[in-house]
Amino acid sequence: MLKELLQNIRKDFIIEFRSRYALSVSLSFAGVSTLGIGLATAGRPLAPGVHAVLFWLIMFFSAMNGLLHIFTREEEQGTSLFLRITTAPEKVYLSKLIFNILMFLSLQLLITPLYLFFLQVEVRSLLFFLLLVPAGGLALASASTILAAIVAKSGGKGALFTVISFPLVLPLLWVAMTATGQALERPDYFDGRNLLFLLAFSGSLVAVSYLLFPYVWMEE
Amino acid sequence: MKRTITAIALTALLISTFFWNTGTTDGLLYGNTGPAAPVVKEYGGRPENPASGALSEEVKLYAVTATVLAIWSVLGVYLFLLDRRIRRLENRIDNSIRGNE
Amino acid sequence: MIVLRLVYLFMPVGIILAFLYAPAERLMGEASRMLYFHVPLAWVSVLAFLIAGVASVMHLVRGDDSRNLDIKAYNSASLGFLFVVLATAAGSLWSRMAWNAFWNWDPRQSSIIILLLIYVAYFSLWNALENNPNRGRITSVYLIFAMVSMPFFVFIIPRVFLSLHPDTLINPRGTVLLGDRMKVTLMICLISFTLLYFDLFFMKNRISRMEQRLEESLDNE
Repeated sequence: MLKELLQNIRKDFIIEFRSRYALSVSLSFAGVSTLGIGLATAGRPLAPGVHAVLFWLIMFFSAMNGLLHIFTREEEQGTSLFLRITTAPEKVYLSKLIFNILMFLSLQLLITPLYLFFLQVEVRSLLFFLLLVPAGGLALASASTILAAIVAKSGGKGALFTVISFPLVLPLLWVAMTATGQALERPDYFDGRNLLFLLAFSGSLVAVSYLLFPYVWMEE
Repeated sequence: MKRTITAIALTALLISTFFWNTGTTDGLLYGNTGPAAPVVKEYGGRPENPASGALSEEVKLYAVTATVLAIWSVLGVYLFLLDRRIRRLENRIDNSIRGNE
Repeated sequence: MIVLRLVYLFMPVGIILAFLYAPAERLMGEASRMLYFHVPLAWVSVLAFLIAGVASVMHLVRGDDSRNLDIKAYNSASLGFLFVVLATAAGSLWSRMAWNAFWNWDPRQSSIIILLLIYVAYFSLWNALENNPNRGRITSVYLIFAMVSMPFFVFIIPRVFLSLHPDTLINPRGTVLLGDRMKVTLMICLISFTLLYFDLFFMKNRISRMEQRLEESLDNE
């Protein structure tokens, strides 16, 4: 089972590397937004809470732009039928999930320094911030994967993806924004409960998605 | 028919509350906080500080009644739309039966 | 169901009790009467959501369209949407009366807005899958997801973050902090709105079933 998973992930990475569509779309969105904010504020410092909100909004919309592609590509190129026949739905889900998580974490690795340096944000509780960002990214990627599968079945429109993901992603954004605001503002801030919430949220979403993915993936 | 009668009866009931005076205040929504005399009785329904934008008791009652009437009218509109859907369905059934004959 | 006809008894009684029997509360005055309408509306919207979720689970477990559970989930969700809009409007008017502001971004207020957004998203998905034979299954999956994340909003976040909202019936002390007359009135209004919801729900299900049978008979000709 592990071998098949790794094969699928490797195949997805190779295809993504060839066109670099998702990566480039997300990065250009993040870059343009950050630049836009920087120009609009003209170097004036913003409150830490505002930075937290903007940071996670950019993360959310980068996820919306970039993580849908994994399933819509299958539908567009006609390879989804092949995948349905050859691989069990659970393995398809796990391989897409791991791919999305890895890709979003690497996107965050690029977007976070971009944001911090361009907008000259001072992070007072660095450790907590560095733990919070991947935890939030994990949760965002987990939510986006199953929702991307749902949207791919209904024509693959990005606007629908944003609409249906917003209510599910809102609790995690809420917690992540408030926790990041505290991390930016107060030194030596560490509230494990927020991290636990984000991890618990991703855990429960992944568990439920694992059970429900076959119903979305398999057609009559 | 039954629905219409109920709707009229409820509206009449709601309107009749306009003629009821504000009175007892022995409700204890926030628990018993002491033997302090109720504010409402002393000031006869007017707020202590009208400048703060607080509403008098009568206005509050009107506001509550208006809101509840609004809620009921929305529910009434919903029932009317449901009724219209049923009527259209009945017409379609009648037409298809007539079409078959 | 015959027992649902009791709504014609309970609802007028509830309204009479709310306006004439229950006393005005000490701090809020007459505005406290909104309690007997706002709380049942909010409760019914959550109930409708849960029933839609249960119908979705049963639809997926069952595996076929024989009981039309996906359409029943849709009917429950549309009723729930109506009630959540009414509950939000009533709540915001009540907060103007009691706290002098229409909207406070209070966690509990925000949680009802998020329930509204979940409904809107569900309806967008339903409409986007217009001619898709898998519509029932995919929307059921989405509703189950929304059901999984809803407890985070409605129950956990308002209890973690301080809220201006009055203590709910399910509070840490485990008691109901209402006077006796108010308790009775609230219970009667809760029961009457629940009966109203079920009455409308069963009615809508019968209508959907008739529409479906009509379509099938027209297709067969």
